[in-house]
Amino acid sequence: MQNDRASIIHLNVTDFAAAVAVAKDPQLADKAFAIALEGSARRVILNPSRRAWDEGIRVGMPVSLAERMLPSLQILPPDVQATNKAEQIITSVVQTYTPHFQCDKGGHVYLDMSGTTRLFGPAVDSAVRIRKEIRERIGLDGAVAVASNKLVAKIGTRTIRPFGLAQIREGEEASFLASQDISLLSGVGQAISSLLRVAGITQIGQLAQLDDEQTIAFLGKKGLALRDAARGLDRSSLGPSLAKQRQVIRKVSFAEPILDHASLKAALVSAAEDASLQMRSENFGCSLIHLTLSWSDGRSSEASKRTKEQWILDQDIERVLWEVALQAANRRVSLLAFTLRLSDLHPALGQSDLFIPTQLERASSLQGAVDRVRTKFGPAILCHATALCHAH
Amino acid sequence: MSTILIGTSGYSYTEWVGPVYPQGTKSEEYLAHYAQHFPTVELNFSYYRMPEATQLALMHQSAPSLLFSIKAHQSLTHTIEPEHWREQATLFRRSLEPLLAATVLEAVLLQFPSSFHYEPERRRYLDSLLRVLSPLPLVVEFRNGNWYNNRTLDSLRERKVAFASLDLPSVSGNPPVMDVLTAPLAYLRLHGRNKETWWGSDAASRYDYLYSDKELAALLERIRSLAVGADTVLVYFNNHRRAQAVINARRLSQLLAQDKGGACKTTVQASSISM
Repeated sequence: MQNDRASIIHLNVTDFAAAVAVAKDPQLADKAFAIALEGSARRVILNPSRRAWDEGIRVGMPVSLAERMLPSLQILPPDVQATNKAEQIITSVVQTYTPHFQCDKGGHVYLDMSGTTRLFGPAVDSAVRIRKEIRERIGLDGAVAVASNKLVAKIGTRTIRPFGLAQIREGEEASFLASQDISLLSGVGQAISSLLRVAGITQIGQLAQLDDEQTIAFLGKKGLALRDAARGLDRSSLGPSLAKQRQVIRKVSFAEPILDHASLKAALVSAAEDASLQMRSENFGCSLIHLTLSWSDGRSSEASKRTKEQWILDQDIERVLWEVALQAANRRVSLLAFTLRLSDLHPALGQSDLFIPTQLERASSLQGAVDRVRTKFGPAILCHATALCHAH
Repeated sequence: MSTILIGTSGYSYTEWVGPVYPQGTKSEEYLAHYAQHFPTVELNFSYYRMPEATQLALMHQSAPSLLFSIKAHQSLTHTIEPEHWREQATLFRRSLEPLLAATVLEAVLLQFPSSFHYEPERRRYLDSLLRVLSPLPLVVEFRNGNWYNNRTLDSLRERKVAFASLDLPSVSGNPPVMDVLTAPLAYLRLHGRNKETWWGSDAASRYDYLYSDKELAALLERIRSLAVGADTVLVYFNNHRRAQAVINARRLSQLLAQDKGGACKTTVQASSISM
């Protein structure tokens, strides 16, 4: 392939969780199935399989509706362990090509291939090989696009998905984007899409042509960023590699050795609140909670609990952590310290805004409000009453 | 399982006598000689002159093993007359009957020029043309980059019409690279990478290019990716000047065979590894 200065590769494994399920069980390949969280009467589809998609099943659709539409639809729970493993393998493949990569949620990976031409040839050749290696190693196929920035590379994969290759030459970003559907532009959801449609804007190029005044009139001042994106302008760099941040750790040492469960619980709740806030701020959930207790006689004990799904909210993490602590705290010796690890971090499996089950919505909404307050004013401003005991 | 077939765009070049065809070979003997080297050919004369059924029948007789792709006549792609194109499409379609009857027609290529813009009127025309020519194994090649969008791809998928992948010089004005499977058939046209002569020179100079082994190896990876999910992948070299298309097609066939132990016709299977 020919040299081109465009050196950002975006790999997009469409409907990642469903694709991983097929890679794990190839017999699912021709079946209509979908991934949905368990345990709620108003579950929604998180990831439809290709076959289910062909039958009209979409992300965010209530499971009950999907099952009515397609009675043969098979519903599978998210397999966080398998998606974690797939992400690890993808990471192991891409890091052989460049140290500069960014793994985002749901099977999205960006690579900056600047300076690798002598080693691997043009970036687009690397893109083809990376796609092939991932396909051969774990049976996952996807779309790859090469462009001069992340934004255009991402729209490239959205254009061709679920599978394929695209290369957009440097300097031709705007012309490539011009005829793409406006919905492919990140940041254009249903609300903005409807707003733009009223103005007759259905293609990215139409938005790109608006001047500042027109853009502000339609979309407000924040719309200028969207208009610039429509012109293919993006100066963002690749984020830190999340592969190196696969766990959140909190170590707590008591000022004096403790013997009572109430003090331990208070300290655990406080540590859990702090760790899970960090985890959620990076849009992760965890599948493994591990606790190490250090006793005053120099010994230590450990316990852990794992789920096939995810723990995201404080209330779940604190409940499970206490169960783990009761397993580990099996000695009548004073406790000096503990280490909490939230591990097997995986992009949080979100629900569609439109269809969040009521109960989950309340809990998520409360958690979101608490997180916002704690992020703005500091973690100490708001905490669980149990944790106050530890603080004092 | 996918079949990869490699050939050239056109076969009737007098300058190929010597390097490809034995000295003294008459033009009517070219195709039989060609068929000794490759399993498929893309017929290009049909773009300039409306083909006739008898002519195509004779071609099949002279090279019975050869599988054909055929480029649609220019009246359907470049010089479209609203009042007459349907008549031309009917003529073109009728001419293909001998190849269809002998099940040696792999693809019908509709190559649209860069002046064929992504506009409502052109889109309506394309929709009508695809309907008229359905269910032929159609392939669409766009030289105008505005057709390279998600709506075009979705529309082709709905109609099971193949989207031609291209290899062109990386120069302004050429469409982006895009390999996307929209039908059971994948189609790759290799036009060479002669940047200097691409714009503003004659056709012969434009296609004066020899792919290096390194470039062919990279192209082979693209072809293998296209083969995943496709029943057939057709690959045609159009860098016909000085028989470079033949040199490259032979070499690519060798590289493919080295991987899989086949000749020009090779099967590829998508692999998957359980986790």
